[in-house]
Amino acid sequence: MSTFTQKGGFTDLAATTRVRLARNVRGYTYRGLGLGEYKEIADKVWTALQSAPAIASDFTMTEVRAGSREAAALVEKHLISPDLARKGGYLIASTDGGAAIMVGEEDHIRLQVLGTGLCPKECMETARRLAGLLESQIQLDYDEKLGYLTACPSNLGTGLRASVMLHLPVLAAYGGLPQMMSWAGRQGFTVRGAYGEGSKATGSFFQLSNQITLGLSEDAIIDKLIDAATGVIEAEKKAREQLRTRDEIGLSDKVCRAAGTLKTARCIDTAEALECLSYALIGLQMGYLRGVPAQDIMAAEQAVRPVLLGGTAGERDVKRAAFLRAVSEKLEVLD
Amino acid sequence: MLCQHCGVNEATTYYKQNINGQVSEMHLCSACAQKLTGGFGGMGFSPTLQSFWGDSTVLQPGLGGGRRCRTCGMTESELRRTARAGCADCYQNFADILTPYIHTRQGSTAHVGSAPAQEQSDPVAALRAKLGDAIASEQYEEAARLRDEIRRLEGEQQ
Repeated sequence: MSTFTQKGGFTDLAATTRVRLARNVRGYTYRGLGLGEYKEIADKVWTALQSAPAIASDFTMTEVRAGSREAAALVEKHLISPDLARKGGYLIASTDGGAAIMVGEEDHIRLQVLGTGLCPKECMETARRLAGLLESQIQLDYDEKLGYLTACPSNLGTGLRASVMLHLPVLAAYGGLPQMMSWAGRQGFTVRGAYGEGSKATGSFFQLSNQITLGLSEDAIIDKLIDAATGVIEAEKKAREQLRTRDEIGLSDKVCRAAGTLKTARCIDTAEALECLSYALIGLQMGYLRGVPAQDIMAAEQAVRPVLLGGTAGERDVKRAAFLRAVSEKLEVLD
Repeated sequence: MLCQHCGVNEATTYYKQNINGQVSEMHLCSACAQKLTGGFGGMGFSPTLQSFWGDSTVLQPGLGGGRRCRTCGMTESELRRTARAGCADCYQNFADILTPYIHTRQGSTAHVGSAPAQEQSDPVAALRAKLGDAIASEQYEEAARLRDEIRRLEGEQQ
């Protein structure tokens, strides 16, 4: 089985990397299409993937039913966008969840590759290979001057949206975000909540992504994203050190209390769980805690979301607490 | 400065429009800007986008005129309201509206990235893409080398 999920560095601050390519199939309009037409497009994508025996068996195709619980769960796993969950369409995804092709979003095809940590180059390489496979079998809307044509002019050209999800609790809590957002904006990047356009940042996770898709090559966009992400990471680290200098007792107290809650709570709601996980990540990065890889805490941030846990609110809080106790079992407080 | 529409929130957006030669300017908070522009998609509404439709009708999407894309039926007013193309041909049929907008939004109207294999017939175009990147990243020696290579290939083609 092929592995599509990529792995990168800075895992204590960069949760995930995502590279997404927007493509439209020649001969179809960008609006007013029915599920039947999206099925035709999904079948074309499926057939193209089946032409590569090495990866053919790694993908599955499912219908995304508009507004369903399953669709909401796919959004929380970052496999589909909230827009596709609302409208319905098709998802063709690798079994490891690393590569996903949405059919029926604003553009006919949205191909995304996910990775952990900071790994835009690796994700881009995989996305390029998969896109090449699709393009060898499917005629796409392409213009020599404007590049890949998309429904929204903000995606024209490369159709590439590359993003890194960053954990920035100290910048967020102490007013450093506006300055950082303004700096990122000048580099051609935007900062949004963890679930993309229009979503609120939760658990202090923010998505840094490119705004410009035309007039720069894919490689140039990826290089600029890496520069911007490392710049933001450095700013967060600096803010943490300043906080340590200013109020070490206050900081370590919050980290250690959070570790205690994660290890012992019997019932915990989403907001408190996310806050504790956020402090645990700070503690691991700053040397107050050890024993659990930062990636496991990052992954727990997703796993404690309500839709993924299922059941009633009360049942979820108990399940969440049990899950967090298991994740943090080996978490140790350093003196 | 407070928002000139609600008078409550801090104004964050400067908006300017020109209707039949009548220029008006407003300072709006983000909520009022969003409301008055008819929920302008996810495009945001930044000061750099002021009057990006030329004689802007963003505040009055109904004034868009009667043109229609022959392929998908998209009307000019709908295009202005949604800021979305209805099909590939909209980029040709509404080029007079979309080209300046694309330039404002993207800072460029020329693609330099990859192309589908079936479109890659011109090696010079690929080198031009690299030349654009080299200039953008201030790698002038590389840019000079690419320029010479383009001239050489163009000479061969002639």
